[in-house]
Amino acid sequence: MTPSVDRPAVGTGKPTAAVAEAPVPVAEVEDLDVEFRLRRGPLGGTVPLRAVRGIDLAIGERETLGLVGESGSGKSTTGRALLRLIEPTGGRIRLDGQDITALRGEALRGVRRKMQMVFQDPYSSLDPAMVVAESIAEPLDTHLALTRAQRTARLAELMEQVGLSRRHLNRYPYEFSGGQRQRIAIARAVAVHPRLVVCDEAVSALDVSTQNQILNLLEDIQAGSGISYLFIAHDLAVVRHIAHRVAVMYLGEIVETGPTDRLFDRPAHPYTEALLSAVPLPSPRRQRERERIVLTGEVPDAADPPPGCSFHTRCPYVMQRCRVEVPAETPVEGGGTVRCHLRG
Amino acid sequence: MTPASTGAPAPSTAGGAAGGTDPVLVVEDLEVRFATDGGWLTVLDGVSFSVGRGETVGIVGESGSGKTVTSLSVLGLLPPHSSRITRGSVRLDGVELVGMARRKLEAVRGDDISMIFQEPMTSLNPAFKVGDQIAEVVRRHRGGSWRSATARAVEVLDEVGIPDAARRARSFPHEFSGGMRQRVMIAMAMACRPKVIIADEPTTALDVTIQAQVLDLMRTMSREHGTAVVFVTHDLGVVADICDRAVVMYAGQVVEQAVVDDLYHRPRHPYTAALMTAMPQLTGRSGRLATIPGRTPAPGSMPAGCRFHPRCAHAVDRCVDGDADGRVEIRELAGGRSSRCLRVHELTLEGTE
Amino acid sequence: MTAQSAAPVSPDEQEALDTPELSAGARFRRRFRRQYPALLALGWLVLVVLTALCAPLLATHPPLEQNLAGVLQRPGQGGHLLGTDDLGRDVYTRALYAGRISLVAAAQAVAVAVALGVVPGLVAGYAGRRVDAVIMRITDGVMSFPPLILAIAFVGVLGPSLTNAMFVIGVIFAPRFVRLVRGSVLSVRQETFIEASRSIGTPTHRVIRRHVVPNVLSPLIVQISLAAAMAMLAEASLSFLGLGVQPPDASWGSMIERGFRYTAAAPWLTVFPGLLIALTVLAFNVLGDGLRDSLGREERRAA
Repeated sequence: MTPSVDRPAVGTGKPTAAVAEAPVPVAEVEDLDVEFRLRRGPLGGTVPLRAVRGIDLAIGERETLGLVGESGSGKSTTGRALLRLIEPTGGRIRLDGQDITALRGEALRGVRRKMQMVFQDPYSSLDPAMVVAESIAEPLDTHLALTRAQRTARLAELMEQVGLSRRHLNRYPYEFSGGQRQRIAIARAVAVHPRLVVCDEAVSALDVSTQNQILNLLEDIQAGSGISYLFIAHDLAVVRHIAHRVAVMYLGEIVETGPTDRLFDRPAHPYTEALLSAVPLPSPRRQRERERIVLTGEVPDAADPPPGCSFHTRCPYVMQRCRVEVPAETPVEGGGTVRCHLRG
Repeated sequence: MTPASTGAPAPSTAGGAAGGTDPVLVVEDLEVRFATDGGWLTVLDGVSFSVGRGETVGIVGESGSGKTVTSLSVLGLLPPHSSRITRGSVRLDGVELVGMARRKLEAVRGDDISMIFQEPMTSLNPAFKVGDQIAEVVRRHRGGSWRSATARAVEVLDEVGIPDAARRARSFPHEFSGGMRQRVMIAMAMACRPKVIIADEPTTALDVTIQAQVLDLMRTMSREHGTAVVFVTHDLGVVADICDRAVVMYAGQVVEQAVVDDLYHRPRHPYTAALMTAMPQLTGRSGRLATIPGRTPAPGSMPAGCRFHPRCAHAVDRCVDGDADGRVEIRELAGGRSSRCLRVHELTLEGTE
Repeated sequence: MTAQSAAPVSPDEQEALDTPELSAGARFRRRFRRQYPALLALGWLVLVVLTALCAPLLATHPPLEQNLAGVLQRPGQGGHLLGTDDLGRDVYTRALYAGRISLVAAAQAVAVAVALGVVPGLVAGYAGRRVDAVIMRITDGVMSFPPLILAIAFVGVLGPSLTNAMFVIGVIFAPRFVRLVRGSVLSVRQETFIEASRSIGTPTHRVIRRHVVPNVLSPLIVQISLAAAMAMLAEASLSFLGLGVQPPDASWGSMIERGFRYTAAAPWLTVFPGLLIALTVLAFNVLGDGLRDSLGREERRAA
């Protein structure tokens, strides 16, 4: 592993261009590896699939790290492995400096208080058989010994914090719209004051105006409590808005990281460049006039990634070297790192 | 007419700007009702638009706007017992589709007009090879032998950019990736050279790089064969990329209609403008994200007057009253555009350009 | 081909909260009230249970009283509402008492099936692949026996008695419950809310109790109703073969068996108990269907 140049910028509510010296990050993964066994073939043989291949990430206090990539890039798996919802097959996970890679049972359940998750589908992430109060109270009951009165007060407080009324606590999820359900999911995630919340495509299922309300709510919560987010999303415009720093994943690897503005304005990796160029701009004139890179082909099979640079099969600038040699992590001017022979 | 064809693919009669001159699809005053616990509720209220030959028209709106209901009712695919078209007409090349017998409609569907759905996996039959599925469509509408239908299937699969089409025609749907499956769907929709394709969020489930490929493909197919496309989407970026004209829907009504350049330059309805302002920008962060207060009204509890007025930043008292009958009628404006806003001549709204 | 899957269109953003608050029970009652066939079925079952309970009050004769002077009397003859059997016993009275036995027998079989089926089903669905495989192979083993033959064999060994017969029927039905519960657990387990609950740090036993069991309950209730119907038929079959209830007691099934010998001379001996069995079995089935339709989980959006 090359020494990580990629330190979290201490968030100030605005993206910072400079890479600041950071204290201990809230969450950190080092050389994380996740391997699944895929059943293939009629005889039921299994093949290994390395969904995450030796990645490093660090998320600072009050920071939002955007994790982008296409389906199959391993971004969701990374989020789940970080929360120990999936067993990593290699590497280290630290939360507030504590190594949680090997924690089990009671000890693991204990640290879960510090890290929570908001899921994509607000329709299936709430138990339809439970009223909202029960759903939100679940982490409270698991982690805190509250009196009845304290519990009731906390529930009301949480509902108001996410912009709902305490009168709705005894309603069932089906009575709420998608946006409202996502608010409930957020209330549940922040109920026990976690240090880190992993948002896995948390606004992808919502309409634009509802999506913006949820994004604003996430920002308000961060400003108020200093919480950190790992924001996993495929919508780059949303990530540009909410993230302080961004990491781009391709086939289980991080190909580029950097402060949001630098990464969006001056992408260093051809894949980042192509991703950005593929997002249609909401302006016919600008969309016509811009130079676009349309990638050919599809993402290769993750069970059989290409040798060398894993992007070389689709890269418009591919060189002979890319097909054989894995590019090393190199610092980028303006902050962050990239893995590309063009910048090597 | 230009004499002496050279044998090259003849340029189609494309470019029917504004759909006014030679529309291939005309939807007029469409009203659709759905059965609910509380009786029949009006879900589409007087939807009108037309699509010119070879033109790509976007139908944009958020969930609950009625855009999907519109596309399904054009094809006669609404659930038969819980919904009905209570008024209006849908004419495909002059032929009325509303009220057409089921058999005749089935003959039209897949032949003159076809559909592409968001999730190709649920629209393709997992038990049959894709080549056979396409050949089946060809045979149903065009007749002929299995052999010629299969040859046609391979031909269209090749056209939509499936590498090694002859071999891939013998694959099952699950053996394709998401993007390739959507190409197969497009091949199937194009197999009989329809006059109109209705695409309902065809790229929403795809990754951006694959979306870019599929949009390019649809653009090329439409241009080469003069096929008109109705593109239903919630994504203003996609509309800007692929559409010639856009129809903006809100709460079961068309609220604005214009050529895309005009629409994005100067929206003439506050809802369109609000949607544009709310889009997070790829090109830069601009403080807090704009939101539209409140939410889309449900059928059955539509606000009086202008349906957008409770959420509109520009609403005044007469927006509640509406025109004479408590509704707001659509206003025809210069340049072939229209808007359902009472204050259309007083307001200057910001677009994205 | 391109014309399938017309997705149900429902406006997402509804003012859902304008509706008055309803508990799960109230929602169920509101929907169940519209299921007229199920209501009718429920009415019939209530009637059957009530008459069975009040049999001594409704009876016109003592159930075992023989009258060899008045055998095989036609319905209405000699003060016998439904006639008399080959020993001169009042058919109406016997049918009342036999109803008791038939119902208790069905309940017994269902109780055994539920007791044996639910826990293995939960375990098979939630525990790992290996435990699941073991439980399912045993289940398959039990299911691969022809049920009636198995019952006959068991009763042959244990001795003919209704309790034995119904225990066997319960054992035979248990695999259905194992499969049903396992299947439901497997699908519930896929739901994000289970992962959400795990991510919060909820202990496994609590996840099962609070999330899995409540979501498995509705199909279970439906299955119980359907199993009751099958148990009643099975009881009738076994009693018809003389392996169930022992004389002088009678169930509807054994009444048919006795009357069978006189089908030509006294058809009422088989018709009335047969009708009772048929109606009650039908009622259980219709009720099951009605419950299935009204207990459906509130998913997506109830349109």
